Amino acid sequence: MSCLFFANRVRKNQSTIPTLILWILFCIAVLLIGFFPHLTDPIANFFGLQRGLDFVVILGFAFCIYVIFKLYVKVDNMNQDISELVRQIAIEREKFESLNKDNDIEE
Amino acid sequence: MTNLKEDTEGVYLVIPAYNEENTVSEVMEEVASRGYHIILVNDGSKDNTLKCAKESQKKYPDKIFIASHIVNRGLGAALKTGLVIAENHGAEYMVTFDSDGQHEVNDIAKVCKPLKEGKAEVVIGARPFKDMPFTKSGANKIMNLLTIIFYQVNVQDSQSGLRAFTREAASKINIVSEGYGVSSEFIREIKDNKLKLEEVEITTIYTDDTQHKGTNMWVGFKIMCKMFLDLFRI
Repeated sequence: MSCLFFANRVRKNQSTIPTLILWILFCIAVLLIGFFPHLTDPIANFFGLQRGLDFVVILGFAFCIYVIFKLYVKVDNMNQDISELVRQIAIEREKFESLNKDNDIEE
Repeated sequence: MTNLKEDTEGVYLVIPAYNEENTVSEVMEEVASRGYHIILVNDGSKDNTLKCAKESQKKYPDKIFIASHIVNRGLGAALKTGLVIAENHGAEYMVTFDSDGQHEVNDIAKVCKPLKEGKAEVVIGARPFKDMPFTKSGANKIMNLLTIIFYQVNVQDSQSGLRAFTREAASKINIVSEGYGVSSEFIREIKDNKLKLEEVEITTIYTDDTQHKGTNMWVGFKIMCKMFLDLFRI
């Protein structure tokens, strides 16, 4: 379903083809691990873990933490951008009002 | 009179205000009547702060300038806006002043004195903790301790709202923090830019209004989290 969703976005030019491919690969990986959980055992053993599923869960956690950090940075940057925008509007308006005031006094 | 004019020459007060309709007019008019210029930054107030400020502006049109944030962005953002506008108006000395009426107007001259004498580039008005209610003094002491830990600067009152800068010093200070964390950030910037700092003891007027705002334990905790996260700022 998510593949169809992204395919639709690509069709509407809202996403790029590399993003679609990435999501298709991700979905295939999730399906494979869902149906054949033992597939991850060799990788888990390589990292010193007993069960393949443990490895998947840890990987999931690591991914979530990465996403949260990435979002934090993004939101923080956006917050600063909004402040800068609000500041510029306030400064411009103040400049305009001060000029008007000066003109009124001159008149 | 000439003396008074000399004292206030080039001094611009940056007053951030968020929902301060009860006090803003009184504070502004008292300050303006002494001959100081005021940059009031209305930080997206939802009450009549802007209306009250405009009424005061009519009484002192050549002293009061008003800037308004269309949405609330926090104390730090409002101060930054005010400092930029003060610089645009050709301010020689910039003083940040709270709009809740907790500062004594006579203290403005006190904090400006070391700047004018060339003894300092930044002056912080330190509030004596013994005058503060217990919860506030506790929170402020913790904030001082955190300022030492995070920025290795020992100041008497890191969270004071009354600060004075020379024009050069203000242009060097780069504020990123938007909320109350700005007070600690000023200290960091003073240290990073190697600005000459002096602290002057000031009077604080505690009213019901001033009790509810500013640094209490919860605000202190939030600032601490922000200081910690700022260490990871890229």
